[in-house]
Amino acid sequence: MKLISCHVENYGRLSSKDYDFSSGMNCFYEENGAGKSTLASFIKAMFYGLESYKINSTEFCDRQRYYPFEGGNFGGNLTFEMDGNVYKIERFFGEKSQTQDTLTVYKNGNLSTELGLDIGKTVFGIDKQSFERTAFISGEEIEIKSTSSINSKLSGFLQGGGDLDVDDAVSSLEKLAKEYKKSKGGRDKISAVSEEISSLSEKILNTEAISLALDSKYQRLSDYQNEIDALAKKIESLQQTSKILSEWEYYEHLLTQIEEQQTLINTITQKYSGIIPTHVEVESYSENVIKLRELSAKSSTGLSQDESARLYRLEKAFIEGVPSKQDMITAESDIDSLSKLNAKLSQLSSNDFSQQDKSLVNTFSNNPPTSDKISALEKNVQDYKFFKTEYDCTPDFIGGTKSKKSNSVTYGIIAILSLLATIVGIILINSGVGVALTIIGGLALGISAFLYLSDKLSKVERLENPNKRKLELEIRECEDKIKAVLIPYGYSSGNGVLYDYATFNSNYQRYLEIEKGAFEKDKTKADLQREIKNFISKLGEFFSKYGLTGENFLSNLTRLQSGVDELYSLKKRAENVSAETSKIELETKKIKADVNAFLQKFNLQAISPSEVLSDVKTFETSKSMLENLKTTAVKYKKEKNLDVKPQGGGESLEEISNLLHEREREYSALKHQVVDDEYAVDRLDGYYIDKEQLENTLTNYKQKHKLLTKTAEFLRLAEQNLKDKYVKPVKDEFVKYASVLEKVLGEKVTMTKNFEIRFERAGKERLEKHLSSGILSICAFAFRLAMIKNMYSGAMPFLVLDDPFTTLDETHLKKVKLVIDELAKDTQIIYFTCHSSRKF
Amino acid sequence: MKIIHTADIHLGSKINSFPKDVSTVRKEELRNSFRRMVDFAKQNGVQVVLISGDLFDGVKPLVKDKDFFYSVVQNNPDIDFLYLKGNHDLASESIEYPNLKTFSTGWASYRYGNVVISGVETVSENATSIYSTLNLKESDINIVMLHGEASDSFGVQKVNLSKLRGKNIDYLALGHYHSHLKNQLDDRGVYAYSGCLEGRGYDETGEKGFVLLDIDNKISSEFIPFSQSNISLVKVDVSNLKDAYSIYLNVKAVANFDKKGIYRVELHGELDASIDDLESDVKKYLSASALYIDVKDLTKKKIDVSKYENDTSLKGEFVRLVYASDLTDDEKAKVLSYGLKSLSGVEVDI
Repeated sequence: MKLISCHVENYGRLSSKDYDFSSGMNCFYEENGAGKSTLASFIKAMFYGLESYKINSTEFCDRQRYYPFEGGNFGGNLTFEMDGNVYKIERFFGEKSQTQDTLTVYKNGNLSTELGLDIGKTVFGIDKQSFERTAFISGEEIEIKSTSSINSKLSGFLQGGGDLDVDDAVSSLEKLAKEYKKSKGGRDKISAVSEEISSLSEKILNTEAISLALDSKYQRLSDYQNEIDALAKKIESLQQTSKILSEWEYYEHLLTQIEEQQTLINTITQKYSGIIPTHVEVESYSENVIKLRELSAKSSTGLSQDESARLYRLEKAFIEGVPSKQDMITAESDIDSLSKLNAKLSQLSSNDFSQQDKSLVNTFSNNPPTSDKISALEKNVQDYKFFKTEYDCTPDFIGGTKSKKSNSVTYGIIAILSLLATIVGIILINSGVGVALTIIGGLALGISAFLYLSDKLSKVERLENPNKRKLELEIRECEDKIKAVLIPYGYSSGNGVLYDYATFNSNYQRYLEIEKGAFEKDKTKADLQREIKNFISKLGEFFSKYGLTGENFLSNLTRLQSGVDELYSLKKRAENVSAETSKIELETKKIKADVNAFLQKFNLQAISPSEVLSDVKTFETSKSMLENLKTTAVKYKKEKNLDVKPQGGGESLEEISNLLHEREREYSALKHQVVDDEYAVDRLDGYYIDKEQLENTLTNYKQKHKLLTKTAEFLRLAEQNLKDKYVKPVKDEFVKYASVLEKVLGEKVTMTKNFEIRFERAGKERLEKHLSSGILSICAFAFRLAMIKNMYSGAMPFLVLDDPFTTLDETHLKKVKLVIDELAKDTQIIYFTCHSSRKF
Repeated sequence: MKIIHTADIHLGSKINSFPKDVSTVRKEELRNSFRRMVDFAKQNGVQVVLISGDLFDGVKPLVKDKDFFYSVVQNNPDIDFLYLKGNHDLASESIEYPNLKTFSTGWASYRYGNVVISGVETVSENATSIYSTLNLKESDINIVMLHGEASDSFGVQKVNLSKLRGKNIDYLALGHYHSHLKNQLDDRGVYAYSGCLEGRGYDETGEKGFVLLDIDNKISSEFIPFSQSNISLVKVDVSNLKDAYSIYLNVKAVANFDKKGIYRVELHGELDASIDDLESDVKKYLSASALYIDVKDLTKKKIDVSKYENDTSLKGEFVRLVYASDLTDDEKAKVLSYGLKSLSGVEVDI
């Protein structure tokens, strides 16, 4: 297969350009920007078309990049030869979408559809991306530094030029797979979910056990319920029996009451000898009894026994005559007089001395001062006063300046004030006042010091007066004499003898007055006592005549008056009684006859009307009650069907009730347990759901782990397959090129199965590290050619070399040229360069 | 006279088709709907509630469920509850209340004026004999309660309709089938399943409720939708949609979700193999649209191997290897997705 020519109508910056291609090397030397890459793109576009422009894509696609700058038809045609036929592809492109594209293919000048729509794939047997990777070689493609990077480039080449190599891809998948399951245990998603499932399974087992146990609990609940029902029925039966027994009890109580009433009726009937008094009879009997009492009361309205005895005692008391009214008035007057005298005497007795007077009497009565003693005392007092006066009038000193009282305090004060004035003056010395104060203060201080000193000196010159001493002795003598009298009476106050004397004299005069008053009082009291005695005697004598003793004469008088009044009253009543008595006796006799007739009729002893009335009423009530009770009893028995009295005893209602309550409590407790268990079991569904979800998650995780692992395995396998597929042919092809290299380089170049380059030097295989970078690039180019040769299942395409040897020096370029020349013998090469030095 | 016909309440039933929280809510709703139905009865002057079997889910009902039911009965003395046991609660014990009327293995009838309600609990011993022993007066309005599958043959859990024709039945109140159904029995009467009050799983989809009978010389019946939440199955073809969000938008556009509803969305059609974790992503997007939405990815994954047929690179070799492997299509799709992403340096997000 080889390109023949192409016509670019409009493609990028190329417009109306024609290119012819020969077999072998086609070198296009053009400046940068002249359109080398555009032409390369055009050739590719003719075979594979252009991708549609995608609005949202950030990629700058070829359709955008090469849309004609000047407009016009976007496209052109390309002619090539393959299998002896000449094909012409004519393509024109829309601005954005493939829908506007047109494609026409001619085979040997005739329209043909033989190559289909995907011409590149049909011709070369590879897709567009593979074509781009193989048929286009730039400088970067062969720039290598070691054969390990050759290997790496091979991998990249095989992988389709992705960003990651297969190792990265496998590593990322294995890392992800390990998140699900780690090879040596540890926390991974599958283990975590498995643990959760295990824990949940345990929970489910426990809850299922609760669920299973529920059946027996339901049975127990049912048993309890049956027992409770049976007990409730038993209680109902016992309650029924108890009710009947209580009805019987009431019926029997009625019978007892009937019997009691009958007994009562019989007793009363017997008491009244078989005939029960009528109400009229009872009433009449009752009236008669009351009348008898009234008559009896009337007959006894004369003097009572006590009153008669009283009258007797009174008559005996006044056997010597009843006192006259005048006697009573006189006695009353005497009692009054006696009372007044006693009051007077009492008043006198209470007028005693005061405490102070008693003290004076005690002081002076034991040792009354004589009149001489008092006179001498008065004289001494006069003398004392005289000498004292004299003494006060006599000067203390004679023949010198009269002694003065010391003025040192005054001088001190003046000195301090002067000093203060001076200090203030000094402080204010800058002003006129300050100067004045300083001067005045200083002068005053000096004057006060002078006066003080002269005063001191003047005292030293005074003489004592001898008369003064003499009078002082006299005074002391008088004092001693006065004290000698006063001290024995306790007058020594320390306030001076004149004061003590004045007190003594005053008290002594009071004492003399007390002495005189006491004498007169004693005389009056004696008179009063005598008079009182006379009255007592007289009154005692008067009352004793009537048997009244004691000195409480007022009481005696009252009692005497009362006795006199009572005597006269009793005597008057005794005279009126005897006239009524005979009338009452007659009436009493008649009523008693009626009463006796009543008692005889009913064969009774004495009986009170109230008792009779009570008996009659009781009889009538009982009789009425008896009838009612009999009716009630008969009716009740019939109503309650009381034919046979059931047997009581046996099981106790209380015990059965307690048992029922006990069972009900147990039932209730078990029911609570059951409800709790049911709630627990209710959660079982949730556990199942959770478990199912977890198991799904686990399956999902395991599946993901499996698929991730599988993916990694497939990637490795694919890589290995590719290597297996390409290594030998590539090596063979490389060796083919290596023979050319050997010629050019002078050294034998080989390749290992791992695509590592070796060369022989001095009979030994050497590592590629000993080769220069230029030689390495040539090796890489040869290696790439070997790869390309093996990639194509269809026709081997032309090669487009886009200035790949920019890094080689002149020597190496020459060597490469030799290789290219060799290559061009069976491969069409379109070689672009922008530098004349690299032209071939 | 108004009568409610209900059945298959299944108090205490396990509900495990949904996540735990939704299941818990649904369990409560089983009780609540029964309570609400009785409230409805009270407010609408309903005199009798017919329970045609399977009131409880098991022969040993939970104490709390029994307490609940008997409390409802006890607290509504003006309503008679006629409780006929079904195959689920046949052996359960009953407590006696004046307004709770039960049935046994022999015919029992309860009369309300000229309305006679008869019923019998079917066991193997009476499965064939009950039909010949049913005698109903022509002049009465006859309601018959039975529990079993409507059929033309005999069996414990079967109701032989052919043997009930011409028996003067006006309304045959059946239980056992969990969706409402009403058909003509004969010239005179109809047979009806009330259906359950609440669906319990994805096998009990559609509207649920009870039947309200209004009797005035003749019976007229009306199905009252009453469930708290309906369970629905939504099938959506999501072929060729590019990602989970597009699929979510498509599902939203197709299904008219009710906020209180429970849904299972089945995704059908063909999708590119590179779309991972579809179920969880779409479920996440739909979560706020209803009480609960489950998503099942039943799509077929497309693997376009032709793209890689001529790819001489590692990618091409990898794709060809995987495609030729004995993995399932779904596994192949995932392995290809993981591998191609990792080769492109894109993080594999699983």
